[in-house]
Amino acid sequence: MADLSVDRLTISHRGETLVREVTLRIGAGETVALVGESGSGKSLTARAAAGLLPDGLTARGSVVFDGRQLIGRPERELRTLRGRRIGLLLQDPFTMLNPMLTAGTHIAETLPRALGRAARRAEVTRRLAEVGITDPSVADRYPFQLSGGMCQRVAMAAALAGDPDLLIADEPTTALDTTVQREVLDLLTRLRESRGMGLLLITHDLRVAFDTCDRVLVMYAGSILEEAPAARLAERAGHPYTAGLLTAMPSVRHRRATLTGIPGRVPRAAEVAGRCVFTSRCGHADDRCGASAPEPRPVGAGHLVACHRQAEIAGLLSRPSPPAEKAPATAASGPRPAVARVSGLRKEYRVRRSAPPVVALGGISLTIGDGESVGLVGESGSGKSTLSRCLLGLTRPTAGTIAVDGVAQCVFQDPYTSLNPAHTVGFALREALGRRPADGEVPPSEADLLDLVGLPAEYGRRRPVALSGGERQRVAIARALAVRPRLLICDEPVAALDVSVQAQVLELLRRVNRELGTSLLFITHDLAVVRQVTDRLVVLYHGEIVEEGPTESVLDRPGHAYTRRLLASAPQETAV
Amino acid sequence: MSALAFTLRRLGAMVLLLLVLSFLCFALLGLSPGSPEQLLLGTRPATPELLATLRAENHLDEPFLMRYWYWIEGVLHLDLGKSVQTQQNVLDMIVERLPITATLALYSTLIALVVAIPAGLISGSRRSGGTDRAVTFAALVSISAPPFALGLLLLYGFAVLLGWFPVYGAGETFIEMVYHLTLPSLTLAAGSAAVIVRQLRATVIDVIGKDFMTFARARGLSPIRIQVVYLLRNSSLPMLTMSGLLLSGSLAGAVVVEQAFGLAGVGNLLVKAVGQLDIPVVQALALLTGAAVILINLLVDLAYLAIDPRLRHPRSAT
Amino acid sequence: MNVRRPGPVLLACLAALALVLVAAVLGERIAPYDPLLQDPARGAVGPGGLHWLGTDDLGRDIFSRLIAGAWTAIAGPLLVAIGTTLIGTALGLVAAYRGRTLDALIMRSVDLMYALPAMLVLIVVVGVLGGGYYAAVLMLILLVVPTDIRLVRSAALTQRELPYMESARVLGLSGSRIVLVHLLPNVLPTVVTNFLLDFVTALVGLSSLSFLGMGVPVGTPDWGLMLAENRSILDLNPWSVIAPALLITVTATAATMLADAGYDRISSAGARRG
Repeated sequence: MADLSVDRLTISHRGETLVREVTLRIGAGETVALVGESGSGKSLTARAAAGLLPDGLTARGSVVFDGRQLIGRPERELRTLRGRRIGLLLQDPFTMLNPMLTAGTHIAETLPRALGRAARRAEVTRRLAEVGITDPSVADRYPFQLSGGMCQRVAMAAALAGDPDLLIADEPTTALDTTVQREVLDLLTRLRESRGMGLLLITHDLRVAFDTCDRVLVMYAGSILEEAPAARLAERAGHPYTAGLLTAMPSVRHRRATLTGIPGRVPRAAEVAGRCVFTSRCGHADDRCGASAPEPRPVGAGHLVACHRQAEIAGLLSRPSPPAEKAPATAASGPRPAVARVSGLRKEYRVRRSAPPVVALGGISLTIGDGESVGLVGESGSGKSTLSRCLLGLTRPTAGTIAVDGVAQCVFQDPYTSLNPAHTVGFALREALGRRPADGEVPPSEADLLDLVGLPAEYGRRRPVALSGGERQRVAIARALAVRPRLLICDEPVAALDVSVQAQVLELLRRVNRELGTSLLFITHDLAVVRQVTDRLVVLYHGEIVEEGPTESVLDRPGHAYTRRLLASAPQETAV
Repeated sequence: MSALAFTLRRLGAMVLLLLVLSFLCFALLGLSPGSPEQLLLGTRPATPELLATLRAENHLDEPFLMRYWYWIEGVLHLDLGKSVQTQQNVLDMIVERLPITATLALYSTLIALVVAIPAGLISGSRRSGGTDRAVTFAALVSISAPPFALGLLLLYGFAVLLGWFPVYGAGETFIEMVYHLTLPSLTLAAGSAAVIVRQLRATVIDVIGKDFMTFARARGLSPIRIQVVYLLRNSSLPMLTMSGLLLSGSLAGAVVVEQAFGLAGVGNLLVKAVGQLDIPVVQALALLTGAAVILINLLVDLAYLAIDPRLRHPRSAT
Repeated sequence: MNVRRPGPVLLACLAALALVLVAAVLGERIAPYDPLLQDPARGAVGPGGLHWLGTDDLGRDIFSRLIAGAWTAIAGPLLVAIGTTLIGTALGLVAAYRGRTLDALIMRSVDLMYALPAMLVLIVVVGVLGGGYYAAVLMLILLVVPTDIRLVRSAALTQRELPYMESARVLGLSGSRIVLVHLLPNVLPTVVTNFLLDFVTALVGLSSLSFLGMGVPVGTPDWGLMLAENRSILDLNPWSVIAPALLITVTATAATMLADAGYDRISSAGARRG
């Protein structure tokens, strides 16, 4: 059987190093996860391993698969390896498939042997069944006629149609809903086991890596910092970065007293040449760390750590903070006055005049108390975003009433489009301050607002393009707070952020709720996140509220079958 | 929307457009400076008998809408009227000059496609290379230069200086015609080719970066299949959208190019008729070219149906 | 974010356009001869010491006529570009932001104009109805503006759905402030490109009309008309044809290049992901 060994792989673009001296080995049939935040170079490493680097990028070092060197091998020979020996699966199920071809064609064109019409049809049906699609008519459908989960299954069948010995899966479940994500991960594990295939899983989510893989490699700013068996890494992270990631990771099991992110932002690989890449954000760094890049050193069975101070700081590494006291800080006793009251809210969309309307919200009622933090959980199509848009007055409901006391503001998911790229941060804040209702008090200044969200006043002069995702999201929060809203609606505010940054934004929102007394409606698909921020939880499914109650009791003792399914699908925090 | 509903809607829109177009063409007579009688007289002496005949023949005493109706009826029976200059049947005049213009159109389209599609594909696939720079610059100049200026520059270079091609005329036999029409066709093709190259290059750059291209390569598909089924087919839709505009651009270009190379084609007829205020000829030409453009646009829409499965199959409700 | 310094190619484009602009403004004042002065004794002579680019068959100085012709080459196209950009941007933004009825009304009219071959309509209408150069300018505005409306509208539509636009609405800003302060700066790359490309379209359109003898009156120094008039002396004084042909081509190409480069520059200055 075939094994892959990558040795001192360096990838660069016009002289700028993007990935530096990555070494990894995947034995036949082994499953390895490569974990990293955005910009870590994990996807490039995966592409290089499949010989599929984008144009203009060059790889040095060695990638040996089944005894054959891939780097420098002509495209013609690489082609015979791809699909048949090494498969690659990408993140977005919708963009991965050719919109002009049916699902069946994608599978059929990848089959190793040319078959007759009937035999090909039978083979496609068999391959679809292998990925859990029992309806053979799916073969005749086009990608745009299928759901995300179905597309990802079809893509998987196509990637496996050439029966590769090794599958490289680049964030294969990130774009999917929680429950679908679980199904696809399980399917991936099953297929890997039944075929005896090796798997290199690229992910940003340590939980997914622990769930699926034997061995985990942690990558940061183009370098590998730590490598260990999954179970060991979860218990005994040896690198300050890994420890920081684990600390920043929210838990679905309990609410943490404080959420600690990793300060600062991810540097470019080229900026941190010749030293430990994590130095600038590391709490344990000393002179050595800035002077030379540490070599990975073994610290246990199969456990390698690239840290100069590993031995000294092993006992000092941060650990997740203990669970918070039972009653969250904001939980006031007794009934509170409502800031928002929604009753019988119904929203229908008409796709075409002739077609029956699609029901996004089927008449829901909901009250948000003063100073309360309410979580709204649901998957895509549950109507959670429609509800927030109705509350904000961006969409007119079909029926029902909405009463919001005072001002409602919002924070959206995508930090890159939340701020107008044409104006400075200061302009955005001043504009919002201009809309602040007069209440006799002295309004805060632009600098006060920036200070409130933990940004230096100097940021007022910057344009959004010069800010990182987490910083932009803080500015969006500051802008919302400028008008002193009674209710802040957050629609997936951390879904697009890296884990280390996510914790900082969540902590900020908790403070806003606790210290300013602003009510929160926190919309998310992520149960672990919602546990950290909210007092009360509302579960939305197909436009209906299926369960509602204190966050703790809903998550610890779910009543509805759908809530139980959601909980069961959430990735586990520790390796199994 | 089903394919049938789509087709019916397009057909309806086409009929409506044709009506508007014919009305505008007809109204040209009324809007022109000078009375209709004067315009219809042309160069003939204004005898009372002739005036009476003209009024009767053209129903000038009837209300405007009735006259429009008579005119449309005539058009539907292929009666496009008579030239006021030569008294020739307008349809005959057009048919007589059609071969030159048709050959020019087909020849130039052929040149444009043969040159532009490979150029656009190569330019987009090997971005920022030497070929890309050269192609991009050539396209930039060709898309900007007015066809008559380009035509006269080519004429000077290849006909006057080098003497490879004739300076005037269209030739008699087919072989001669092809020889004579090479420079005009090249001139006409330059603009269209440039539009195609720029569009195709942009689309190819876009498509090459798509995940499905990477996924296709990752599955070891043959380069030919990737080029044709993945790259070209996904790049064809924007090209198709352009083709309607391209056609109307070429029609106008043909008028100017015929003038620049002294070719007696349909475009030359239009320029002459406009200059002499030969309204029936102008009306007929405007109606026919307008109808041709509308028809081509309909064909483009139907071609969409054939290429893009998203139009054939309604999206399933999710 | 600093705007990069323009490269040599862009500087050359700007210089070419500036020269034409200077010639258009100063015109006859800097021309060595009166562009209308005929000298039958010196008809259709080639370039020489007295006449840098020779004369046409009526003995008029080509170089002086080129300088004088810059006015019709630039004034009309500039008017068209200004008119179409203003109208097209306004209607495009309104169609995108107001939506519904107004959008449908504007877009159906645009579709109608799109179905007609613009240049042919120009030839027929201006040729038959007369009115000369400025009628052609007005007609061109009418024929080109649908393209601008369409492009601005689609650029604005992609912005309209973005969260920053929705945040502005949630803040309760007025519609006109949202459109002018938030939407307009983000469709500016499209607007600038439209302006330059409309200039090119009008330059080609107007000079084509002149070439066909339908724009400016006979005898006017105009690049398009010069080509038509001097075609017959192509063998005697080729520069009487080559020079105006090159000038039109260079002016149009420079504006197109500026449009291409300008779009990349403006859009990358603001909207690129950090």
